[in-house]
Amino acid sequence: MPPISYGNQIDRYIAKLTARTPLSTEDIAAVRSTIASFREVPAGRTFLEAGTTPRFVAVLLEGFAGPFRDLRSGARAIIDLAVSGDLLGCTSPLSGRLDLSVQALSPCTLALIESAAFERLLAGSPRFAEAHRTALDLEAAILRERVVTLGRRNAYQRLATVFCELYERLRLVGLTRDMSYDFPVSQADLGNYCGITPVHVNRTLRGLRESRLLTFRANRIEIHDYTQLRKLAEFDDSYLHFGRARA
Amino acid sequence: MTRYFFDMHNGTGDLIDDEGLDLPDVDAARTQAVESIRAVLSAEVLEGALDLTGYLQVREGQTDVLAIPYAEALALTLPDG
Repeated sequence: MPPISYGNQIDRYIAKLTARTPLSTEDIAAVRSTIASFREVPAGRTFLEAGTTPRFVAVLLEGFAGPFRDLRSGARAIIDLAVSGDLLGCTSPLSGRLDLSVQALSPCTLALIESAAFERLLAGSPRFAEAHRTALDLEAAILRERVVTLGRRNAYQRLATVFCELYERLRLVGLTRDMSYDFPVSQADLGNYCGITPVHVNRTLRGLRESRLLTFRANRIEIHDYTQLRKLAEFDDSYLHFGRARA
Repeated sequence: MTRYFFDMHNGTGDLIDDEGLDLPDVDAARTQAVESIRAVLSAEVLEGALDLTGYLQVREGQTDVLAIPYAEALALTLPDG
């Protein structure tokens, strides 16, 4: 049995899976019993290496993690921003290896599931398999929206989009309070995620603050005007499809 | 590694960096500063404005290390007259 202190955090993974696909209590018990161990990772540590075939998949229980790629120039592209409840370490079905390395962007807690046990879980429960497929579909939808963001949105819209999307994703797993949430990620990493320099991030955040849209201070995002922030970002959360009717 | 801070000073005020970046040396800080200026100016150009009156101050803690005027971060060619 996992230590009690991690119990609630595992529920975030379950919450994400069950948002669209109902799972039976047996399915949920099976997911819980598959967890082999827990691991704390300090911010800045790369815990999955591209090109390798890890023996575990990892559920991110706490913190933020980023699959990334470095270019020869030293520029880093953070491809995705994984939040609590997201699964990391799935190898490419084509190569059998990881496409990208993954770094902890804040202190992270991981639940590790042996890859073989995860495969058994998928094979043993059609509902879990469907929930997992849906989670992968959601990941793909988020990445499609990222293409729009990086290709066509300016710096203000990029940051606005990130903070709108994070709000919705974190709300699903119960990590928002009123219109705010913890975001212990550096402005440099935020820049690597948005394709802009840290100075530009700082400047853009000031603009968002002065426009009374949001404040990023002391590792916390506080949204002051969600309607206007969404308008700036042209944020339509239907791509997130959390299985709820949206207004 | 040394932590360098990058503050922007221009017509719209001062933008203080309170996070900083860990870089190997002052040359890397200079490169980062120049790239930062270019990135910010290019975004302004896309909005239809170019203001070269500011400068970027690089600090190490409270100590000023470099000051780079925006105009020195790019080669500027203007029509005669």
